[in-house]
Amino acid sequence: MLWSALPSIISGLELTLKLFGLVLLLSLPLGLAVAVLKVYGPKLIQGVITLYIYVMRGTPLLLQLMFVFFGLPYIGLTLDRFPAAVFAFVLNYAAYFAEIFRGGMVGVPNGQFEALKVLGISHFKGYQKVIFPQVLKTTLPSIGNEVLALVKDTSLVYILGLGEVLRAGQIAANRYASLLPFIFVGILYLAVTGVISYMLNKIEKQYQI
Amino acid sequence: MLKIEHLGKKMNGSDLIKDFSLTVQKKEIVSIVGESGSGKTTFIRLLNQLDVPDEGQIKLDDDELFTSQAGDRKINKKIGLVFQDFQLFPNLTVIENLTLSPVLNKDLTREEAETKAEELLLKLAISDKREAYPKALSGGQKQRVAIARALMLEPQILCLDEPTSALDHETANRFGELLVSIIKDDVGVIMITHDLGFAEKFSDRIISSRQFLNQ
Repeated sequence: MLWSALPSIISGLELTLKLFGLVLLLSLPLGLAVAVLKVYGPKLIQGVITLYIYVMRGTPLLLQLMFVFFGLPYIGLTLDRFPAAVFAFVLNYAAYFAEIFRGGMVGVPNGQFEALKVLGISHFKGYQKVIFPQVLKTTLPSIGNEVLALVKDTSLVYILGLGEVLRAGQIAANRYASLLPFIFVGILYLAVTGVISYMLNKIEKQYQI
Repeated sequence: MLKIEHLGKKMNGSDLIKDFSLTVQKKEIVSIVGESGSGKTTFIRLLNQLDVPDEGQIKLDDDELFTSQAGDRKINKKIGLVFQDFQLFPNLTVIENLTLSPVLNKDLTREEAETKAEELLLKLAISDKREAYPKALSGGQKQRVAIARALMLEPQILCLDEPTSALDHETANRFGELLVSIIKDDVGVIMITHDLGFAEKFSDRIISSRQFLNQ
């Protein structure tokens, strides 16, 4: 009976992974840009970003998903289910990533910036070659935590009627009155997070100097 | 030749440096001694454009350092600084720390920069640490890398902030001898230190930080 539910669970997994990959790809650079603006941007921008981060971290992601999909059409912005999910997730995760990056940036000793200046190295190049690699090294563990949380948070898109892997499992569990699909879905999550943890560890080791 | 004329800097409303003048020639080692809080570090920061003076002029071979925008690279590079805590870049190897600035600023090609860096490392007796990261170096080794990094830009004046604070007596002596050998290459040295014995042994001139206020 699990076999007959398999195709829908696999296509659910595909959607989960697609959402995860897209959100990660978009929210990491956006988070970095937001962090840079929050630290170096003009006062007004800093204020806007503080408010944005407050709202994103201060309300449930589930509510944000509903707001983007059901609420934005009222102001004339109608998104399909999947783009709406990506949009909401990217906004939410970029806020968390921004706070992590900001912490890493503030943590680099002032002397490093002064050393760059005395050596006549421009701000941009200094950031690229010296500051950002240090930020990455100190923030990687926290980034890794968020990345794993994202894998699991993708299950929230059921609220928009998207058939991700957990929803597929639930439908199968109801149809066959069995817990087996849930167990299978749990194992799938573990497999995905296992692979990601392994890769995160590798990256961390690479930056561990 | 470095010429400092009528330099003034206030800190929290009171004078830290006032009407201070000093000339440093090439191949000269000048030590500034004095207790902490007497403006020694501020003075070094002013020379390196990390702070802006309230009054006065700092001239290098008659080029004014502060008429142009602060941070002007060309002038900046003529004065080198070795920080008290060295501030090596922890994510880069020794050789990368040395070649970063000349290569990024296209002053030298990578090959030229590496050849030059290797010569300096050899001279400072740390060529075996070429590929090491700063974390793996001792205090004295870090200092020599920091000096080599500053010398890569061929400064006319090299500033040293408390160079002996991380060194034991014997290493400090060896460092002093190294310093004397460096200035043979047309570099003037200004170092601030509270180690009077070291200053007396290796400097051509000693100035008390009290002179910052003309006392």
